[in-house]
Amino acid sequence: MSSTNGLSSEEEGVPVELSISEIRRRHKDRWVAVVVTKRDRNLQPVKGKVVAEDLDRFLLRTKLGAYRDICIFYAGDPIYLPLL
Amino acid sequence: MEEVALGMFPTVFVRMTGRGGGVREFRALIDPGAEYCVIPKVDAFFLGFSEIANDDPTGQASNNLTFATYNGYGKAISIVMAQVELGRMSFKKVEFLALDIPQVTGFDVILGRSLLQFMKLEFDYPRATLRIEERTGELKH
Repeated sequence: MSSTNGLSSEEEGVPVELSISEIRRRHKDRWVAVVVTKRDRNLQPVKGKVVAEDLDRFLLRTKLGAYRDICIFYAGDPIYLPLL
Repeated sequence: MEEVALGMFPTVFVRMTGRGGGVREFRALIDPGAEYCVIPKVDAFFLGFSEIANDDPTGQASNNLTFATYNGYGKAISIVMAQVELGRMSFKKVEFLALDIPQVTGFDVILGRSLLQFMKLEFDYPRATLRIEERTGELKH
């Protein structure tokens, strides 16, 4: 959808609804904060709007003051694979 | 809860409500080998557990807990989460440790036995599925 200045919502920086897999693709290896917009029958998030992202999970938290209900996850696989 | 994809690690999205009514949701690692659930200190603070900010070395909080890991010992403050929601299952008063695990793991929340004791878990690695059901009745442990 275009706004009055001809830019799409995404181009204007307004969060757009994306699937979780698309969020993982677009924000690969970043920590993301998502407002969940759709859930599956297990109530697991399947779509949402990314409202903040950061390489560092703690810096991400500094951007979330306005949100009382937010979903946070790492959009990638562990950097260091062996986990014990 | 029905079957979910297992992936490289057993993970599930979990919603938590603390003292102040705020809600945080995380993709959490299911770890039956962990005694406690774990949440980052910054999120515990956001959820109303202000005692996390007390780092006075001369004081010993009653909820300060020493634990053992594969790699040595650690200390953390234990808190009681008002509500934890996993799918359609809801659990009240779940014990967590406020602890920052290395972010290179890609997880910041762990679900350990303090929550998993109320569930039946079925890991099917050949089929790459995880099934979680709420368990009612007497606990045996």
